[in-house]
Amino acid sequence: MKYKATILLTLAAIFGLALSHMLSGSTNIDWGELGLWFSSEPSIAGTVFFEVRLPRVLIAIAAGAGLGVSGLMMQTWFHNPLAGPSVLGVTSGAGMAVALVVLTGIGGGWLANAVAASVGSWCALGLVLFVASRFRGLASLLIFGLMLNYLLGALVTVLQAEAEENALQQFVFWGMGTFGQASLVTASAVLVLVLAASSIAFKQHENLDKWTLGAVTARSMGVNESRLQRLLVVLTGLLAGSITAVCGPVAFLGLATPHLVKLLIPYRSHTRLIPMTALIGALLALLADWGVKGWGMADSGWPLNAVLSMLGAPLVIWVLLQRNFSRS
Amino acid sequence: MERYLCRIVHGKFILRNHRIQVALVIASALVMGCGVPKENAKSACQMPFEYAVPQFAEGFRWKFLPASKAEQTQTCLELFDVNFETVESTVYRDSMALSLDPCPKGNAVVLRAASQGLATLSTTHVALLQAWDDSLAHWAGGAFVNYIQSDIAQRRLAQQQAVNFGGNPEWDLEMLIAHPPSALCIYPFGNPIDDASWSEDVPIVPILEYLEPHPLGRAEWMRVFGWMVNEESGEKASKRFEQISSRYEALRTSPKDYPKLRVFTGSVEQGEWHAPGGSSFIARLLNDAGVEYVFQEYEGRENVRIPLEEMMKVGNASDAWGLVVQHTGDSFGMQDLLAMEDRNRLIIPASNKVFAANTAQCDYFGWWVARPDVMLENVMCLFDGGPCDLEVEPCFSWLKE
Repeated sequence: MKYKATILLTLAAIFGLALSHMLSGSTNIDWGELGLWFSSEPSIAGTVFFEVRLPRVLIAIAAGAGLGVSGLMMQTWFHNPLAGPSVLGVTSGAGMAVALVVLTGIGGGWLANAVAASVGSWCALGLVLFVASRFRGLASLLIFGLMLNYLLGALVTVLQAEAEENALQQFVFWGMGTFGQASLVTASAVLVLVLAASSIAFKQHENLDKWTLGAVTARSMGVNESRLQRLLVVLTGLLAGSITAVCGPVAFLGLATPHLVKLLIPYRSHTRLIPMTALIGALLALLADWGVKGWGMADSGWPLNAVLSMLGAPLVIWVLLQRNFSRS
Repeated sequence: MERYLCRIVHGKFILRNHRIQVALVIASALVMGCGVPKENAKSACQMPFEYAVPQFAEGFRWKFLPASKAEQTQTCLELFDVNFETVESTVYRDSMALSLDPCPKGNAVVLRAASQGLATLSTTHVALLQAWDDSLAHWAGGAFVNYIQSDIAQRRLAQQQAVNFGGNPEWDLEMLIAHPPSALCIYPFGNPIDDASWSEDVPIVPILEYLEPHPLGRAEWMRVFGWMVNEESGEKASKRFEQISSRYEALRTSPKDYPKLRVFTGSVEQGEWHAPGGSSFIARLLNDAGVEYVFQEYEGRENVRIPLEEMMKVGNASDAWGLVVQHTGDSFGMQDLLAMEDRNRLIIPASNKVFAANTAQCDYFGWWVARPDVMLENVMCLFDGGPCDLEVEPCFSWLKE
């Protein structure tokens, strides 16, 4: 299938899924009342649509696209198919900060978690930026990110061991991830951020393409390695940090979406990979959110991270097998 | 001075020739604030208020609000923080009551008028409503409804007289918007709407009953639920609680015909023994049943951790072991206890006496919390060795081989 057709088909699928999310829910909306939301008169329809359904769809699109693009950037940069937005320790930084707030009883609630996650991810990002300039070679930074993940994970485990049962439960719920807690303002802000970050990444498509040929070749072709590294680290940190702050640690999308895209389309240029990854990420996120809602059946939903992994992993394996079979 | 500063901040003063002074004054005003003059606020808060303190519960109290002679005396409900030290929230039945309070403490929560009733987070909350109103007419619905064992609650849900607000895995926010309750009773954590723009439409009331160290303290929260519904229901709930507490006290002070057994509780978690402390709910219940709680010396209501080696000695030196389990299927027996954790055989007392409450078979976190008198009666009849003639099937029973 041609690239443009694939893009159009994916866009249509995203639109269809987004529309299905916005048109259905546990309550029946009186669509005639929707306009009242813009007036001072309270309206259930307006609140449900503009404060629950629309932000949920927007944040799902933003999270899927943002995590997919940041995963692609990390995999390209590290020349490592196992890299993802969490590899730099940004997600763990967010997790550690939330654990500190929730498990020690300093605070609680989604707003406090979001603030903590933002602060935590920025601290981790600052640390990564600080050490990135001192490391030679990508492997060192990758190992640093992994070690930071282990260290922060260990601290979270200590906090969990000491925490009260209720606080532990709250932290576990946060760790499951959700698209259901974003407000319209937050969701719109994250979407704008994702669009801006993806556009900046897109502008670097030539450098990223050259980088896939290897560091030495890329340097000989004029790629400013340290500048590109700083840019990618900041973009990934921004995307992963803001999405984790609003949705909790969302698994799978960052790691698997780029693979799925590379299996679906034959192109390897980042001019095509970046938009396609953003779109497929958004599509997967919207699809997974149906699983969270129990595919429309009451009381049968699963946590977001469980749905994402259960939906995404077989999908990647299936596409992988299809490709291998068709080659053989 | 503050008024002067505030007038400047609001732009009513312009001192063109004293810019630095103006800047300093504005900065101080921003720091000091432009609210009610502090002297007035302080004096209002120093007014002597009258309080109605619960008999056993520590997490709440009622404050009598000053009212004019023509008006009936009104109360508001003060809810403490998790340490039972400072007031975290004050609940008012209406905005009129709020206006009567010269010194609201913590978050001011005004219950929503003309609503279908109270929404709950926990199965215990439902039981505390049902304890004084069998029809559950004032229950708007709840979250995590799969855990609710009350038949009436399930029937109301099935007949759509109560709303399922989700909770597993996510709260159904649409239902909360479409069917706003007079208040959403939650724990002091897990607020699903704390940063939503429409959160003002759903008053949030934190319920701390689970932290109460006295069995009657937990049950006394039924008075809070009754008060939140209306004055009449508040009185009804208080009367019901009086009956329960009187019965509990009668049982507690009754002569015991059995020896003062040494009883321990808890279970193995991650290689260590975890048991409630000496000021916990279960410690109090066992003491009131006339037996000795082995971990009495550990102060506090929190769980204590004891190395397994030490627990083997404790087990040997004790007469009985009590625990709360969740076991589906057939009744929970000794074999199931050993299947849970092989090292349990090292802990079982020499008398081989182990009793358990199986939460899969009895509404331990619901009905039984609201009926501590029956819980005490159940435990006492266990130690007495006789058949338990309770108004419901016993929750605690000795494990069989």
